[in-house]
Amino acid sequence: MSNSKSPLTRDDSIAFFGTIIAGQSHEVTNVFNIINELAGLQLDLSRAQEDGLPVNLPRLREVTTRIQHQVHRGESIIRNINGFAHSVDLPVAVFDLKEVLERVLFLAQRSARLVQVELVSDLPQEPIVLESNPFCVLQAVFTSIELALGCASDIRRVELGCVVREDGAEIRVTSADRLTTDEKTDERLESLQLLLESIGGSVVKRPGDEPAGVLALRVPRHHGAESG
Amino acid sequence: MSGLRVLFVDDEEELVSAVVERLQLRGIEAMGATAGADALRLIERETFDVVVVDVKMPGLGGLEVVRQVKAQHPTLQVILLSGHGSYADAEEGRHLGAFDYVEKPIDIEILIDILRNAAAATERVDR
Repeated sequence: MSNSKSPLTRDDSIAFFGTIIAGQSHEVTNVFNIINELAGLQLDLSRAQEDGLPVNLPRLREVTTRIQHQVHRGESIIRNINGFAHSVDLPVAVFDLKEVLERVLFLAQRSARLVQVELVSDLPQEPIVLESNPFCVLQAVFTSIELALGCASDIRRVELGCVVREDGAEIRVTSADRLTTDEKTDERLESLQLLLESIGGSVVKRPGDEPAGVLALRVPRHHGAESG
Repeated sequence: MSGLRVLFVDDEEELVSAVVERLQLRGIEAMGATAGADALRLIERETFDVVVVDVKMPGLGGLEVVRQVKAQHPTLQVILLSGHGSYADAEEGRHLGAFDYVEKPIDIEILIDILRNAAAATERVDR
């Protein structure tokens, strides 16, 4: 197995990187916009004294708490962007797959919210240690979630799960609605397959295999091993 | 400006509540909604002079709100809120009949100036 990617998957990776950074920068901007308004409200409330009115201290404290909450929200976004950016540091690294899946879940929440789909997870409690390319895994799982989100019609719920196997892990993205089969979906599935093959993995289930739409991604425990 | 009734719509609940309160502190009768569909329901129930709506929201976005408001209530003024990267949408909104657009982060005094201008434009049409 080679670490080099075909031009097709390299382009997909650059597009994926752009999608994540663009989406998360919007999230950070939202936080700044809210802080701007809450700080403005704080100023408005503190100016009451200038109008001869008593300053409502409990109210001011409440607004301050709301600002602090937004700061924590911003920190969480930045922490995940940072973790995401560092996933390209090494082509092969030892990492906890559970952490990577939690990061994808966080990064994909914006996409889910915009299409009004509930994105949930059912992940093992214990760490899942893999030696692989964390960026490729992130990209493969995110792509699968986007495919599932795009197919959500009636139930509008997508779940991210993971089963530990002897030879690695099987990551499952399950849409409560059946995954559609069209040209665009097929193209994305092909790219997904190429991407997983570059790390010795595979997509082992296809849309329509089960009543619900399931995409199961197999990732080997060790770089260079085949997972089947 | 007293007597001005404003509906502020954005999917970020914290932003809505803060802006609504800031407008109220300035004597404006402001209400909030966090979804386009909720805003349209409120518009059917209440009377507003101006609706301020974010361009990019889950479900019914700002542009669709402009379309529906202008179809049902042609004299009701709509101001679009545009974030980074949604200026093209804001321009499209103006073509659909939006009065103006305001960029985030909001400057409350600029927003109030635009609200006043929008209400004055309606009064001119009514005369």
